[in-house]
Amino acid sequence: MKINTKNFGEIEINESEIILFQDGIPGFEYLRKFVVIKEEEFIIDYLQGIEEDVTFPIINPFLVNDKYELKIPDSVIKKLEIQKQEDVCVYTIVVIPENIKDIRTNLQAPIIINNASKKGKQIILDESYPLRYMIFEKVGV
Amino acid sequence: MLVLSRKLDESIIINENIEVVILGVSEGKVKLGINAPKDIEILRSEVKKAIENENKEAIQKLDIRKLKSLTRSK
Repeated sequence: MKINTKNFGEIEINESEIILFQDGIPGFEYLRKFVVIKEEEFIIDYLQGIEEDVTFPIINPFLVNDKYELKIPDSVIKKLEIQKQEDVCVYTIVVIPENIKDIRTNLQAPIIINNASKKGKQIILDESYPLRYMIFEKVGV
Repeated sequence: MLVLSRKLDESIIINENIEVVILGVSEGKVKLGINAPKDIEILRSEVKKAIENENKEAIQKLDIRKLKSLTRSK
């Protein structure tokens, strides 16, 4: 199927690439279908909405914080039908302000995707995780 | 909105499987205890709001052309 996007123009989506977010995403609970658009030249990828043209910049948090650790709650393992750790992808949403030096990512609410079941969810961890983690030094701009 | 008054140690049951108990009342603060199934997410509302706002900002602030020009000039 083809979708029209502001950021990538018209793109071709394979049904098999679509990730289902049964609970939507906080602030966008009505959106269920997304695809991950991988960017070859840069560390930031994108979570693109299919039903509405929204683009979340995302990053693999382990690349910018080697101490990042999280436990996926049992209820989420069940909801996303996770059977093997290798099927799981973790991303965190990136905010890129006017001044690129303030680029940051949300380590408190990672996005968990099960590539086997094609289901995803943004989970909220406890407040010991930073909502705004500065990553300018790690992104190589 | 349903408005109820509860005294210390009294509780409310929501949907048969969620119980909210008043554990403490002191100046301007109420301590609540919540019994609920593990798969029910319970958050302070300001935490939820903060996450929603970061998500919205992530979308609004994205300027792909600018980002590409910054990363291309590497």
